[in-house]
Amino acid sequence: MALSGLQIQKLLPKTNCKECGSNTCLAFAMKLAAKKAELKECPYASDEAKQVLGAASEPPVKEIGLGAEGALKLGAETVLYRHEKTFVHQTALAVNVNDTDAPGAVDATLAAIRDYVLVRVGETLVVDMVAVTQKGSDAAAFAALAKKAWETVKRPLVLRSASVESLKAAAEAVKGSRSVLASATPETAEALAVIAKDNGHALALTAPSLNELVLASAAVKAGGFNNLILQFQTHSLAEQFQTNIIARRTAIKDAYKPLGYPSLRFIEATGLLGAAVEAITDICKYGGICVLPSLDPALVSALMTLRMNIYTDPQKPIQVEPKVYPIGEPTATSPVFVTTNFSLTYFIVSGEIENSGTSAWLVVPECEGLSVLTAWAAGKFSGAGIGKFIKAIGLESQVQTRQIVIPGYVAQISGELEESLPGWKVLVGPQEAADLESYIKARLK
Amino acid sequence: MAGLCVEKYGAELISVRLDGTHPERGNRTPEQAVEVVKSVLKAVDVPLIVTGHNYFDRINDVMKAVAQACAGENLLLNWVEQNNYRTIAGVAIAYGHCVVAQAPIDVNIGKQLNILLTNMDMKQEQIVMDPMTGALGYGIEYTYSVMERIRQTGLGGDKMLAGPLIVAPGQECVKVKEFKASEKDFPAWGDLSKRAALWELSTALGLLYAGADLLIMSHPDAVRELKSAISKLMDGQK
Repeated sequence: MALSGLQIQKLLPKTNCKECGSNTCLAFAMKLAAKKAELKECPYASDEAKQVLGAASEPPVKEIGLGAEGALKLGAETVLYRHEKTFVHQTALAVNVNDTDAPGAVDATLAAIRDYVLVRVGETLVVDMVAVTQKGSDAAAFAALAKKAWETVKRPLVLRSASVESLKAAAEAVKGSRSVLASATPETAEALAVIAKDNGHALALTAPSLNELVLASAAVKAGGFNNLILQFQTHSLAEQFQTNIIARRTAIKDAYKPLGYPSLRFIEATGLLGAAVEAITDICKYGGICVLPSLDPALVSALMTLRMNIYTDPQKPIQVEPKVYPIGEPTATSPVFVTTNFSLTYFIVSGEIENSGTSAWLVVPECEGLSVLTAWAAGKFSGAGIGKFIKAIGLESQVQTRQIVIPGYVAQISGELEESLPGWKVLVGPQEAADLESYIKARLK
Repeated sequence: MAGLCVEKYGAELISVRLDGTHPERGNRTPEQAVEVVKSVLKAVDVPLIVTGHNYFDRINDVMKAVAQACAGENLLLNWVEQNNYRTIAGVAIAYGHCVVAQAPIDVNIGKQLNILLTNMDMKQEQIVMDPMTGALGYGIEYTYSVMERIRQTGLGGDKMLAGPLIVAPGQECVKVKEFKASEKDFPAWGDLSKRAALWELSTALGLLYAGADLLIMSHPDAVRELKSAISKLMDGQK
């Protein structure tokens, strides 16, 4: 839990020695509380201060880094609802292969996982992890498949087996990949924690009930290993939903450390839509790693889009790249519209133009992701600015159209825009995007 | 059609969209709209949502005619908004119907509109809030958070934000490219027929988790799966 400046001041030497750069210990404490300074800047900090502040600055959900560089991060969450601040690390999506699958099928799946790329609003999304499940009994074959998956896809793995022996073989075979061993039971936790630690992996824990699970996670942590992930055993959608929420709420609201870890879930539903329901539930409600039974681009693209939406930082206006967007199949004489680069504005305007059945060019200048009126009020959506942008991107050589439709809310910029774009006629469009369709039909046909 | 939605797909309400009364989409008369609504009322036993469009001059006349002709049917007139609520709310009160109060992804406007409506002597039990949504990938996150905030504020005791929430994933999804584009053009998007159902299901289930009480759907497979998910969530059965 975060401490206030006054609480922190009580832990400091209170000598006002100024060696940290602040004039008083209180000023320094305030900076610490605002996370604008670090305790190590104080040369006289007591061990108690270090310990208390260290614990207080840890997020209630532990951050876990996976992959060779630890770049795939999970956890570190601080809120239950995205509007309270933001969600930090999005649910990782993994696709499963089994050691009993035909070798040709395994190769094809691994290649498909490696090659799958979804580009969405300027971001390139890939499958985050590969799950390797042992269904057979040969530890060496399981380890060989893990090695192959790691070498082919080069993304962290979820190694799934009920056998400590097999997990040990696989963990050693992919040492350095910072993968997840899944899953230790209260009985095997101690042995597997050693294997995970020795090979630099994270360990997933599971138990039939939350009570047994928290006892196990507390015990492993007390044993000196804290790189943990929790796999909840649930038997219905309602239980999945409730358990995910109970665990995260307890971790965040009550600062309850034994539940303060990311989660792991294997999607068990048969059928694409049933699998979607479980995965959507995990994405909306705090899922850490979600393992899909197979790679279906229709499912993965929908899940990745939902995940992008839920994990978008609501504190930042999201933006689309400033450029000229073709809507439909515009030609050199198609109409030209302009709007701002706030994503929601862009999507609504482009959608409405598309719905009208008219092909057009949509000019989107840089306006820092603000909506039309806000951008105009902030001076980021001025006639001169739009004119300059249109010249800079060479729209005048791309199209012969010399009419541009501006949003109705900024009718006042039309004079200035005509001045900065000699030869162009500025048309004032509707205030609301929803009226674009009627506008286009009435005015541009 | 409406009968099929109820009998085969288990719809608990039917939304009749009077899009044809828009001057540019058929220009049908209020009398024709009444006829359509009455025929659906006759065909099914479930409650009706009567959904309009944004051409206020026309839709106000249409809603007035429908409300009058179907007096006492307790229709859900969809929708009124801050700049156009008096006529439709008035006929809803006069003829015993409910209204959808639509606010543009904005908690404060939503609350304001509820205040305006209750000031007209509309009962709170007659108001369903529409926070307005886009499809998955098209700004759904704004609605998601607005819905969570509305629900939390409502649960916290603010009566003007304690109403049920309605969203229209079907209507939004059919507009987007992911519902139409072929796998050939977008290989990463996968098979179109599966994707269409998945897109609507993801939109709907996400909004359900954000607090939706009423969802107007269009894809039969998405409806079936969503209904199954709701029943699993409500009674805890697998």
